[in-house]
Amino acid sequence: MKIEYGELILEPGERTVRPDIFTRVEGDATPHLLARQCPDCGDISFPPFRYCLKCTGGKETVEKVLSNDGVLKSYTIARQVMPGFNPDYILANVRMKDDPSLVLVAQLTDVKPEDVAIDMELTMVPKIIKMLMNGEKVVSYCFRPKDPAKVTPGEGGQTE
Amino acid sequence: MREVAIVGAGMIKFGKFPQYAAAKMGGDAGLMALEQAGIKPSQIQATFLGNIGNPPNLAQRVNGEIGVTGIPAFNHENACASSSAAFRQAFLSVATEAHDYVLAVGVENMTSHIEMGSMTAGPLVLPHGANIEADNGMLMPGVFALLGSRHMAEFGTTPEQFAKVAVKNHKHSALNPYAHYQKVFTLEEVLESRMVCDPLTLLQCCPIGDGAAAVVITTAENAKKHTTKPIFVGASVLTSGQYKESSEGPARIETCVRAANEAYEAAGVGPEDVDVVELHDCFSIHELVAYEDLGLCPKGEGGRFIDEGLSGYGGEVVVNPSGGLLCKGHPIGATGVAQLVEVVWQLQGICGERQVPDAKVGLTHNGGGFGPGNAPGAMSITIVKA
Repeated sequence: MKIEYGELILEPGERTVRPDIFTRVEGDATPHLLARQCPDCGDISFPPFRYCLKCTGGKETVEKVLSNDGVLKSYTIARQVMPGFNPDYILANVRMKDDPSLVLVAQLTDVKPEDVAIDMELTMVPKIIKMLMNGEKVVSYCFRPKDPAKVTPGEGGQTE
Repeated sequence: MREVAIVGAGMIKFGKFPQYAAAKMGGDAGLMALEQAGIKPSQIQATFLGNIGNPPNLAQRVNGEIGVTGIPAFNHENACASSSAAFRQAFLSVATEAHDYVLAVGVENMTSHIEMGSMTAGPLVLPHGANIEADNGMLMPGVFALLGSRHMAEFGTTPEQFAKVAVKNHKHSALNPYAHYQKVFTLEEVLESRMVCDPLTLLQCCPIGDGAAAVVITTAENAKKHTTKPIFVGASVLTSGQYKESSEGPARIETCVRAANEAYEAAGVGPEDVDVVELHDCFSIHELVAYEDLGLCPKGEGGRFIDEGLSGYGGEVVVNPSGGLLCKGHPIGATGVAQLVEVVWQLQGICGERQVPDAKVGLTHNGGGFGPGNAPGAMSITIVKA
């Protein structure tokens, strides 16, 4: 996987965890998550839903580019993992800045377990998180600390 | 709606039985339930079955094992709450006068999948693309570890308090001949077992296994013909998680709070009236948090509740006298009805060494999987009364 001008460029044998969730923002070197927002109640869903599940008003949601920023709500270290993952990754609930009711399930990356603390500020970075049975590598959204002092490149078991 | 009662309850011993066909397991549990009810298989008018991973049309095959054919047969999948879904539909069919006598069955043979060469116990490991959270590395112990991590941060709950749930349930299971495991462990042994997802160690995670359970359901009026101890169904609630309903506020499963409140209202009892609970302790953390969500103790005091022994014999309410999912076992589709069988037997007063003294009101709590936005897929609360 390469990232050029905020755009994910997949190598042969790579795929994203879902094809419609990354987008680019002019002037930002990192891709952004593409959510959807309810035109009535303003609720933001990610993974994106076509209709608002918060107000269930029935209006179609519209695209909403996320800021990529969140805070750590909770975390655990997954020692025993499903086939295709590298063990000992940090599994996290991340509360997104754009909508505090939006909590994502994602892996932390580029951080040592001892540097992780609840409420720490995080930002999204795409990484390869697992290999499928057919050998394909899966790129998904991970989160790394915003504070450069807490970042340790290569920690977490994911790859670029 | 007619008042509904359980007149027979049966369960096979849980364990690892890869050669024991799922239909035979369900049939054996069904025959035990019919025998306790003292009714003939030919009196059963419909069968409702819960299962997630065994061959299709299992309710029909269970009927074949007990000697019934040509009646309506329904198969339910709702992850770990599959047979609670089956029970609720069976309950409704009697309450709404569709049928007078029905069988609700829960069955799962997980180890046969491993025997057949699968890496995992059947469909529990989702194929890529089924669920984005699982694709990202979420796994069942991880879900509850994340809930526990948050509970520790908010309320100062400790890994020792979670581990005490496993110590208690293992102690209970030692007296239950139907339990998969009947071994007592110390707090140190639980804490020092292999780490699975911090702070959950192996002995705080339910095992993979096989089992079956069944109940015979009829009207309260008919029940008097069959038993001197009918167990009345006060409430059978099954709902699904609302999108984001637990994402803000304290660490909890709001779907459980909602389902429990609905069940207490329908049954006309409160948490203080409940004598015995079979609770979905798939992982120790879930039991501690559910003490609070079920209203057995105030929010944030689950740790104190287990520390003071209030969920064991001699406490305020006996939670998981069977040993729970942690020790009795968690053959997925069997669990909901198996929980009911235990509380029915407790209310009938036939549990021997593990009998909860003077049990009059029992509750089962059974969660199942995930829906959109990672909300609980199913949450079932059933309240029964002697």
